[in-house]
Amino acid sequence: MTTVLLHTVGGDGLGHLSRSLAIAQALAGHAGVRPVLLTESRDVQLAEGYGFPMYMLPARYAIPPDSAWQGIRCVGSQLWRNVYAEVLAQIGPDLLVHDTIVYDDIFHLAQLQSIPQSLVLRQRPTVASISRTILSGMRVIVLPADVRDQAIPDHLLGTTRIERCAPILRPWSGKVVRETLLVQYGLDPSAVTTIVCNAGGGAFIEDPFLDIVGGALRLVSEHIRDLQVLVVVGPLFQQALDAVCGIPGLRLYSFLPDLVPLFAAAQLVIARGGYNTIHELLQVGVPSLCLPARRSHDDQAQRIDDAAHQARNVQRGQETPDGLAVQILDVLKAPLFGHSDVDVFTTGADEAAVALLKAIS
Amino acid sequence: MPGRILFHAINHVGLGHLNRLLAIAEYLREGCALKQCLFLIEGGRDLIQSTDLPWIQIPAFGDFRSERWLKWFGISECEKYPEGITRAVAQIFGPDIVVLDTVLYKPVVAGIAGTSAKVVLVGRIGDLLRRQLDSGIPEFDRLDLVLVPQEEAEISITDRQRLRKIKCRVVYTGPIVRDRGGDPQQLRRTLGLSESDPLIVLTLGGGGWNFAERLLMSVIEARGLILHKVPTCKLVILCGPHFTGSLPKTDDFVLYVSQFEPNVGAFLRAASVVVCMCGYNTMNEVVLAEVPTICVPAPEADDQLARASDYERRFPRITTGCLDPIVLANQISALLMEPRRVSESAVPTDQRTKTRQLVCAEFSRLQTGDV
Repeated sequence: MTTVLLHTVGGDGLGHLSRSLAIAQALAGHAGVRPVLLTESRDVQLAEGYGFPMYMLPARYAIPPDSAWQGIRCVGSQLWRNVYAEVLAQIGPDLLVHDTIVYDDIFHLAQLQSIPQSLVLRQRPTVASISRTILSGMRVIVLPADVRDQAIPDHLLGTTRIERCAPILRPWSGKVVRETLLVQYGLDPSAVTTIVCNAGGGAFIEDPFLDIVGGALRLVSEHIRDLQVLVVVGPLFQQALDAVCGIPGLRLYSFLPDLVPLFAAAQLVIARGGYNTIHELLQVGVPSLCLPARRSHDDQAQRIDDAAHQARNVQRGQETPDGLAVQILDVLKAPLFGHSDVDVFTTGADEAAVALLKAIS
Repeated sequence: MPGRILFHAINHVGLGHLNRLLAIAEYLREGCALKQCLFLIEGGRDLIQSTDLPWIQIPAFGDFRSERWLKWFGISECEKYPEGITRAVAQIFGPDIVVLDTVLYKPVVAGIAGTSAKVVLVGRIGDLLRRQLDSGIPEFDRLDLVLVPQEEAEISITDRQRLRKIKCRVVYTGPIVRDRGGDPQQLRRTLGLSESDPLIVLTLGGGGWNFAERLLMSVIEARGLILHKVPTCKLVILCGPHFTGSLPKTDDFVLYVSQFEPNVGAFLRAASVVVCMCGYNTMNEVVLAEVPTICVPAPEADDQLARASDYERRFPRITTGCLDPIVLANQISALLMEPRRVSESAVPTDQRTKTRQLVCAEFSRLQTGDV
């Protein structure tokens, strides 16, 4: 039995976890391979549904400075290190896979125990902050495609084996019975359906997204009487919901595990610019207005612009209610429903799993 | 003055154990300057993440989460995992006091064996604790203090005799319950409701009992009759993080559905009527919220039937209900048609203050060795 431990760090979104789950699912499809997750995330719902063995730690870098953690901050990193050591001892992984962020302590612990390690690296700029020691300690670095940048950074050239793969997304069948799906969510198939997706919803700073979108949709509803809106605020969302609660025809959810089929059934999606969201929108081809979320390690505005260059269905959304309302009305007048400009990405997780297993075979 | 406190909450079908320990951490923080605490949890991340209290999750066994491990690993391997993580945490954290809730979970007690920590059990009387007391498990000898989160008068003579078997100090504290705040008026505005709009809040606790799904279905089936009598009525469903049944979609009646809300207190106080099961925390929270409540006890929970009749007798706003949608609809409609203002704010009762002071005093005595 080959045990693969997937270490995932996340704080303000669910992208890293989502990708690790996709890879875990692909790994589980290989005979004799058992995936185990070690996640440091604020997620509480997404991972539970997948049924993989899982260790859960808090997202270390997302701990608020004024929280009760402060008192034990002095022992904080030792605490994580001790737990990492225990996890490695308990399951004795044949491979440790990091997603984009590599913590020194778990890397060195695994290295001391001669546990092979690999890296799935989503954001190319991040690589500059990873030490050459760590990069050279990887058996393989898997680079999932991103609309943003395709070049291999200098840091990686000549250091380690690089494997490219298609975007790594959780599996989607590509088939949607639109009427059935909409009815299942209490929506009317004959009405104009807009999905608002705030991704993980875990912005650390005040985020005006729902204020802008709520204001815009109220304006739009004066022109489109049969508008219905399904809003998913994100499982990490903790702000007030006032901004969206007054939207006519509203269906409000904190979290839905699988939004892609709903995207495919909608006339319009209003979303953010994270890796998973953008690639899912490209995959589905639904008309989309994307408003970037501010992230410390990602440039969502750039990704949205790059996606808009490559595919007709993605546009950058105006960040004012009036401007966004005009865009929404334009899109809904001439919908590109069901149209996809890009190849459908279904193979990324499988390609990554094969590359990871090949590295230890 | 408590120093480092390590809490362990076993949590499989509800959130009661974790909620109670969070209440104790909050009491200690309010009352006697808790220095450091850390929670070992087995679930309920959404609950603890709604506080700022530190946590580490240990693998859980003995419930639905076991399957994910046992599919890939042997049982003998799995059984060592919680103990190992507990030991790894305790070595670094160095607790002065370890607090367990109701269950003396062997892997955790074994994991702290190498420390000199004093051990407190918060022991709610129910079948879980009775079984452990009757079988005389050796872990009881490790205890330094037992806090019973009930009034002594609530406890039967037989149970009091059981508790006398414990060698350490046993203190009856009264209900240990959190006051999960939030402004009910603001919440109503957020939900698009005026102060007078009739609102049913259905809370299913942690949502782990199978009965939770049946209660939800009964309330949904009662919809037509309720709307016939109170046409503007809305329903909010708080199904709990462990709930695995299918949820109704939001529509003109079902206003909002949520797997978890950190400010449950605001929902309870914003309600015209609460429909719930009879878990320890929910019942004490509805008492605190002073809201008309229909409680439908889950027979699969060891203590809910007795609690339902006890609370119905003691608190005039609480009525026991059943799964029959017609009966339920009539009970809900009757309460909805009674005029009632939404509570202004959460006012901690004298009972809560008294309990907090008692708990703080017991922890201080434990720390100074004056037990």
